[in-house]
Amino acid sequence: MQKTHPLVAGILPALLLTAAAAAPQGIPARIDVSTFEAKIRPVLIRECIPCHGASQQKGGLRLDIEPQTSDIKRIKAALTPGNAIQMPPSGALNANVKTDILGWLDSGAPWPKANASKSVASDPKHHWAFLPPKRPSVPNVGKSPSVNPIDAFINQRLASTKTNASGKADRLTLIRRATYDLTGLPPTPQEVDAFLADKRPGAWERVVDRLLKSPHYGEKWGRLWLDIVHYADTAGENSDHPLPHMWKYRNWVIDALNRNLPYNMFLQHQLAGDLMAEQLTGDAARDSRIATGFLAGARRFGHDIDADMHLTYEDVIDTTSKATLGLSLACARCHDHKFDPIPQRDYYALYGIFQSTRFAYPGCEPFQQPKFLVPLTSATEQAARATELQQLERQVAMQAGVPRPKDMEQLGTARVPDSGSANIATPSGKPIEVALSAGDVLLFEIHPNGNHGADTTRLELTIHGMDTGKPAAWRITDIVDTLPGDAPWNGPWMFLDLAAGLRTLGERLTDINGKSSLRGWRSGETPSVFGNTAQTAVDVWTSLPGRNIYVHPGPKGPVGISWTAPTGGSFAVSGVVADAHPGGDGVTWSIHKITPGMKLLATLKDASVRARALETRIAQLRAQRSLDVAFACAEGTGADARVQLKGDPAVPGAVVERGVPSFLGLPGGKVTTGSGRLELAKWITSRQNPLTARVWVNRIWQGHFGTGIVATPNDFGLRGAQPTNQPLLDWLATTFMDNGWDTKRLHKLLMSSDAYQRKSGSGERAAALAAFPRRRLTAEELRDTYLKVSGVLDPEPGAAHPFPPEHTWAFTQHTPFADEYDSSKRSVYVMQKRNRRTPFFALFDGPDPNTSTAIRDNTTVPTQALWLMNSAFVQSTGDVIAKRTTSGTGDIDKWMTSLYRTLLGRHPSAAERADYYLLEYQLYDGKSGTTPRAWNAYVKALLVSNEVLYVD
Amino acid sequence: MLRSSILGTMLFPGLLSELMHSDAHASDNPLAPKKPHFKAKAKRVIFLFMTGGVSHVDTFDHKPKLFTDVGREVKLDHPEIKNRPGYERIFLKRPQWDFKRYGQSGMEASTLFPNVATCADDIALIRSMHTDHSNHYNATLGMHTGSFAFARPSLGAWVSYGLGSENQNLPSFVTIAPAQTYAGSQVYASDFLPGAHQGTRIVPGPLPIADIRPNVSKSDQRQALNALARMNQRHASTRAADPQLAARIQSFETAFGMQMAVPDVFDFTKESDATHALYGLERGSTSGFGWQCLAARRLVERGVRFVELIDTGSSGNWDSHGDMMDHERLARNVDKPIAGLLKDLKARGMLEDTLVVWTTEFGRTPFNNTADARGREHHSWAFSSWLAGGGAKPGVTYGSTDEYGMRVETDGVHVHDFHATILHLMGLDHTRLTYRHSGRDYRLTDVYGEVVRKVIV
Repeated sequence: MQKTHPLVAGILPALLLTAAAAAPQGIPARIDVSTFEAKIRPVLIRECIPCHGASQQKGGLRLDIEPQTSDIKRIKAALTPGNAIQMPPSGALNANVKTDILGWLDSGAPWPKANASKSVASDPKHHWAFLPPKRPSVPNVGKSPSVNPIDAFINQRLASTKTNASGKADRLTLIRRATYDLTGLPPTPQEVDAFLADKRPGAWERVVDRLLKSPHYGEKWGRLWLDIVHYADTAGENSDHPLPHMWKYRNWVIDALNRNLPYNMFLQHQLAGDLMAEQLTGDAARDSRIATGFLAGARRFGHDIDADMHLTYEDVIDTTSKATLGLSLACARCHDHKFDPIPQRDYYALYGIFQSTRFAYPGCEPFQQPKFLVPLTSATEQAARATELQQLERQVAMQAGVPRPKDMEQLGTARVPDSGSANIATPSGKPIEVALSAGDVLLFEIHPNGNHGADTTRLELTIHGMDTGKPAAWRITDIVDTLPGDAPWNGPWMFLDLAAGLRTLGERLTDINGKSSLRGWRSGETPSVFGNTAQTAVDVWTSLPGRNIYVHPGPKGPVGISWTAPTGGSFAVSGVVADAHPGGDGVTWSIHKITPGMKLLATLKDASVRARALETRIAQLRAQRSLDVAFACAEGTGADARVQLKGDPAVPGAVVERGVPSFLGLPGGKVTTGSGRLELAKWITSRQNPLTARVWVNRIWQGHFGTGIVATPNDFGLRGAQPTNQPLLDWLATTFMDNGWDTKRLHKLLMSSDAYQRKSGSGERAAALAAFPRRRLTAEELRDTYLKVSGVLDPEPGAAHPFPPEHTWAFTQHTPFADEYDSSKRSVYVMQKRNRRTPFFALFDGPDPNTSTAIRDNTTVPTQALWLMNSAFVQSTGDVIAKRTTSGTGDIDKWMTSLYRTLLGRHPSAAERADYYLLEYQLYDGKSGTTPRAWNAYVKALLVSNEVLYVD
Repeated sequence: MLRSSILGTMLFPGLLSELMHSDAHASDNPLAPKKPHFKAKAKRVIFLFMTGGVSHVDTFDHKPKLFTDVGREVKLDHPEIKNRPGYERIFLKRPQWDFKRYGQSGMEASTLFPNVATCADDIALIRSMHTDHSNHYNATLGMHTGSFAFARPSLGAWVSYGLGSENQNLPSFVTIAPAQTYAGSQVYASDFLPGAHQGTRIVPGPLPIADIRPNVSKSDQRQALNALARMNQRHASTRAADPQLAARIQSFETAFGMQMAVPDVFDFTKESDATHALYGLERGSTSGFGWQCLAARRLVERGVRFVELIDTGSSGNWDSHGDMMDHERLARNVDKPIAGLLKDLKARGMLEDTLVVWTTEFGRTPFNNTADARGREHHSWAFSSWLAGGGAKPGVTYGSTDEYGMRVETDGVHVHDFHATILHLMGLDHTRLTYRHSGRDYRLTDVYGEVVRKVIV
């Protein structure tokens, strides 16, 4: 920004502009101080002060303070047609404005006395961006009237600096540029061919239209918005909890852009979609609620996130104001804004709005589980689901059990004290011997000694067949590796809840407390039977040694394991029952014989199978209930906020009525009930708001031309960059609003300009748009390109991430969530954490998930080159392409053609073919097999060459 | 020979100067060495960060009354006991290690750091550090970025931004960390500063930098890079000079150099047995703090501007709630290597202009909820840190806490003051080292910070 911009540079030399617009009509009206503010000052600020103000005084002239008498003549001269110097350089003033200015000058340029020496530019209310854009007339640069107005504005500047624009780029360059710009992907060779062959008029327009309709359009431009709102899939508090439902907002953004939701509505839904949903039905209502993920996805802070919610509200205010208004209101948290005219009360007016909003709760270290997730189904659907659930649960309960047989024979029992253990044996310490017929059942019961602390109990149990000739032993630990299995039985063993009669344990467990080696069955929390399949101990509520079976009785009833005798004979039972979790009441074991038992167990099995079928449906309904929610917002309790003195929530000051900011002086609905988000959304998207449309068209401009007309897209305030071409910006902003905030139409308008279709360049020529600014692929484009050209890309939209289930969460600042998930989908769908950025995206200047990214850095560092040279990702991309291009015949010319068409959409030149042969020659080491080695090296070199990495 | 004379690397400098305006390139390289604001006492920093909160009253802040008044009940409005069940009453807890005076300066240190204590006369000890937050995450972020909640550029990134680097084959800011600490990658991020200033994390082990090892032979790679250069030259020759294209071409050459420079940094075979012994490092081992310290010396020797060593990750660290005796294990891990680093730098004449900083995120409570509780809690009110070399005043002990080490009593040094002092020693005025972002000029010290003159030579 230190460079002199063309507007300024163009003033000193005599200008080429010959014809001024219409000459003033009639006698200038006398203008006095009272009309100065309305008619004169805004023109001075807009047209003159950028070069003749406090910061620069071109030609020694200053117009932010009362002009000297001698200056009045100079100004008049510059407004007179035929004079050597013509002002302003952006083109002649509109006739009425000129009449006003001349009238003012003829009156002796009266200046309001009270602040004659006070600079008008320093009066922030008159800052250009805070005055509504007026649609400027399109400059006439002597071309046919069909010229794109954008070119009229740009060419006028180029003419004023005598800069010749570059010619039109060739078609290959254009389709590559357009395809990357609109979809973030390279064109396919077929798409290139089709465009090159399309000789009918309107071929370019057809390409642009096709790309705007591509589902990949939203994936590219949605990323721009996700950068600005610092989208992430984790909350960012100390343990960085996952946000398993956040992806719905991400996909909403992509989808909203794809269906070209008008920008004003795009904003309204994000700020107040839950309130708007009340007037909507079906998917429209659902989508509208999801959109408020914009607010709910704000960053969380600290250990107990509720204690730091003032920081989250600050993040919301910062993001909302930067994203929509191109201004940070967060600076007004502690004091009135230093540079922009934003009073502290505006910050707390917004604070009240967000404090009156209920944000979904992500979980944090002291409170792991999410809450306040927003249901996406209607109340009727929810009620219907709840009823079905209740009925099914009742049926499961009825399916379950059989009465306890009255004629069971007890074979032994003993008490195990807290922390102690007892052998399964006769009172004299011998194995318990019993004669059984085939199908008889032994039932082992573990009873709690007290009603609390009935605890995890380790069980060793062995049944020996005593009959000579057929020695056999069944050990309970033999089944460790097959747990949990499909049903609560496993060979001769079956797991039972004995609280009331006999019933099988109903719920299958694959990871108890998030430990994958703990598997088994339970009913409710307890009773349970499970094993530790690992070789080593697992630390959960207590340390559980590996390769062991554990049982856990319920607080009021025993847990049971039955064993069915496969053959008749005598058996000896032995084992150990040990309290595995010291600090309770201990347990009592007993063994019973059930004769005959098989039929009983068969009944139990049937009941279990029926119950499991019902439970599958129950699980489905429960999963739907938990999935069909969004990480979004709802109304809270409407209340005004207090000022926090010096930004400290512990030092409250005066109450501020919640509502829209006052600094723009725009009318805004007073908030009486509710949070006020709807009022805020309407205020931001009001046609009168001078910032919203300008900020958005500037972002779209930046997306196509690399730099915005305002080079600081998140800062349109007094410290931000001046627009390099304010008339163009205002023309675009007003046209955009006139066209119903139609973003795709704006893209088309920009891309149909000559300026967009020029040959590429860099430096000052690109800054002036005399050449199209060359750019590097973004991190996402680079990764997606490699996936696409190697045929690995899965082009379907991404959905949820495979986060661990919520009930297993135990994230802390010591062991935060830190997973990485591989994906072959487009980069916008890759899971992004706040506290641990994915190294690849950080390396190639990806967005910062912690704060609004309005401009991507463009660094060129050797660690990027290391990745391009040596990373497994580029290696495998190269390998796949090398293999694919060489499939079929061994003709290197064909390989070259296939390679260049795949990567660049063109044919290789003779020099490039020669290059390959040279490499092969250089790599030749007297051994065979040079060709594959050389081809591989050549493919990888081309893959990381500048022609691939940069868009012309 | 055709291959070496026409297409070999010798052609590169000529090719490059053709492709870029040399002046444009110099100013485009964010890591080009830059002049400090004023004459610097230190040219480079080695920042030793002890993760988890080192107890000051057990290490460098001797409080005899804490030994004698053990068990005495105290009443405090302390952030770690507020609304915490079981902490309705708190009692003074006795330090578990004895203190001695060391060196000419008579600096006091406990028996936890017997080796570092032998360097007492090179150390400027600050016993009056304090910070804003008693949570690991926030305090760690604060010690690294000056911000206790929001992501901001790290100290190392600011120094790199202010001074650039003296070795273009290596990153300017390196963090050697066996595990991620609290706040993850934010502690070495460049945030809104240009990405070239972000810390490169090195994980101790045989492959310390990602993608540093080529998967083809060096000569094959050289030829492939030459082929790439030919492609890029042809591409550039049909376009007007563009510094970013030229810089990209250069970046591959630098990376090729890094592939040799980086393994060279971490190849300790030519270090003598005596040096290995000094750092307490077993020959051939690529782990442990001794390895980190020796790697740090080799990095700064080669012109790397800022090296941070993090001793442990976000678990198994100095956070001894359960048992203070765990401090012994952690001190043993770092004591000898740190002393070795100081002595080695001194012997090589490098300590003069190398600033070594030893710190942690906060101290630990001089009390607990029973007098014989085995652990200590987080304590943001007071802790100890030290500086050595690079213009830090040797042998000085600065600032003090009250009789129990509870609160700072004299010459408090806030994290912002600490940062201002480090920047000052590097020749940077913390109020002038700014970066415009979102309409505001940001600095490491926000609107705070005073240089602590009395710890400076």
